[in-house]
Amino acid sequence: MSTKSLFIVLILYSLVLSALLSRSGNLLLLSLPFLAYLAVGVLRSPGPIRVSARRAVNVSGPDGAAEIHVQVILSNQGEAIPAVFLSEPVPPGTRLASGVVEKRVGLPAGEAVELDYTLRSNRGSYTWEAVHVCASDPFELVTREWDIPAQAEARVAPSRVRLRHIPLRPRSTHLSTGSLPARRSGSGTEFWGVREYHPGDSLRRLNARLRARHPGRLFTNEFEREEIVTVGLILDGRALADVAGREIPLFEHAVRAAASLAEAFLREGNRVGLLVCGESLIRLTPGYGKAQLHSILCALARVRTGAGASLESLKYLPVRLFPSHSQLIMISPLAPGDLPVYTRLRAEGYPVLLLSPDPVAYATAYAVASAVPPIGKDRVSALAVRAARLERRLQLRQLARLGVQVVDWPVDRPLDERLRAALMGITARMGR
Amino acid sequence: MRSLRVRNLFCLSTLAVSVACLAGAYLPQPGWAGPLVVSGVCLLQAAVWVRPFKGLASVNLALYTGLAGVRLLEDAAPLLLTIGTTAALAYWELIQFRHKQWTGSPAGELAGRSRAVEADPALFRYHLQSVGLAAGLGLLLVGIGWVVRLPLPFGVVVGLVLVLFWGLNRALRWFV
Repeated sequence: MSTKSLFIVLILYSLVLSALLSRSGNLLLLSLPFLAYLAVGVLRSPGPIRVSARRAVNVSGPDGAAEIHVQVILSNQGEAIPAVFLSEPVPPGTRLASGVVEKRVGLPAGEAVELDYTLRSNRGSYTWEAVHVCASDPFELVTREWDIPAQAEARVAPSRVRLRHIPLRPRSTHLSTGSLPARRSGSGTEFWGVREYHPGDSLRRLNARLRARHPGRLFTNEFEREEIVTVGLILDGRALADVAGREIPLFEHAVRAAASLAEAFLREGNRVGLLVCGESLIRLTPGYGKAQLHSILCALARVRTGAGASLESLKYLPVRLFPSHSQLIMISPLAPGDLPVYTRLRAEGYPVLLLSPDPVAYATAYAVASAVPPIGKDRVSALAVRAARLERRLQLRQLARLGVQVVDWPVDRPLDERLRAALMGITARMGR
Repeated sequence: MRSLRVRNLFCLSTLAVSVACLAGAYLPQPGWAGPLVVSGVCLLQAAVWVRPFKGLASVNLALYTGLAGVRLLEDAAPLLLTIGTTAALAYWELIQFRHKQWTGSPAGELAGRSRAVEADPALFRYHLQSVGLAAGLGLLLVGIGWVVRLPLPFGVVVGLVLVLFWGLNRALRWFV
């Protein structure tokens, strides 16, 4: 019973009882308007309704700042319904940009009512199962509720930055022409070495200087082959790996980096797979092309931080997911106790690159608004920040000693710049 | 916009009728109690109009009915008070409806209600018809009751009331 009908019934009962106790016919007369009100409400209440719902969802706008246009049409195939209240929940992570999510209308027989609204979302995967319909009499004394099925799904992929060629030097490559140096001679652009001329070699590759130094002999320049590689992206989505900031949480930066890297590698023809250890374990076997990029972006759209999967699960990494010697790229802010995971990966022969969004720099730059005084300003917090920085530097150094290529990324700096600077430096050191 | 004006007109009319009826019943009374009661109810009704809090409107209706009941026990202007109570009930219902629609208006947004509800003119018409029907039916029943006065023994009246309560209970369980 609704509060309204309960209130009217209470007044009615009080009046009738007072009339009985005082033996006043006039008081009984006073109860009649309330009785009539209840009778009209109850008699005009809707019976079983016959309605159907249809939902259309359209995602538009750039990835990372998309607009989800939702249109719900509720058609009445039965008798007229005096009052219908339609309501839609706004999914968490979205905000209402325009339109209405609730509507109170009268729905005559054979007619339809439409709910039209636009949500704004940065990233996420959203599903709708049903429309909540509440039918009642005009006074809302008698109310009945239904969930009419109207399923739909929308995904908003994370925003990406266009990365230039990533100068990786993988140990093993596939025998297909690509863009990464394969550590063996062949057709490429980078100089590899010189060997004696064999019949059939292109004359354009003859080394003129050596020919001048050794009369009567011919030498051919060799170039380094460029091939494709299998890249395994591993995104750390553990709750402890996230730091909530003022605008964009650190994990969102990591997700965007993963999407950007996937796009960059797939654009150059490489095979890319994905593993996310977050709220749940998400695995995508390596693949090529736009279809794989779409799959990766869809998977990244729905990732959430959580304690559902830990990096320990990498212990049982299936070979089919990331074949032996495939290039692994870990995107993780690095937590204490992660070192054994990297040790195991290196021991299994995987070349590992760690892209680590710097949580200390992030927390210091985007000092959480509730922190008073701001982080790093007073002596104690300044010491704490210094200790955290030292601990992180030590961890990164230990990883570098293991042979992990480390890219320390303060997220306020462009990813492309940091990647190139770090990888060029590593390549130069390896060259020396 | 037109429906808004019509709704306001109906609200104000029912408000005026209810206050006028109460004034008609209380003001002829000697002393200061009558004007005090009327001005108090008038102020409360106006407050409900300005800020349509659901609870305040209900308290107001209960108070009005109580005051009408007290005056009826003194056998003063029964028809006037019954008409006034019917008007107060209609006013209460219109205010409740207005409150529901307010949540979708800019005024509702300003009042801190962030969720948007769209008003529907067809629903408003249907609601207004129903309010009119309920008020009309109520007054018709009152008129019949006023004209046809059956002298019934007290036991029969108690029996009838019990039947009414039982019937109401069954009907509400069935529908609500």
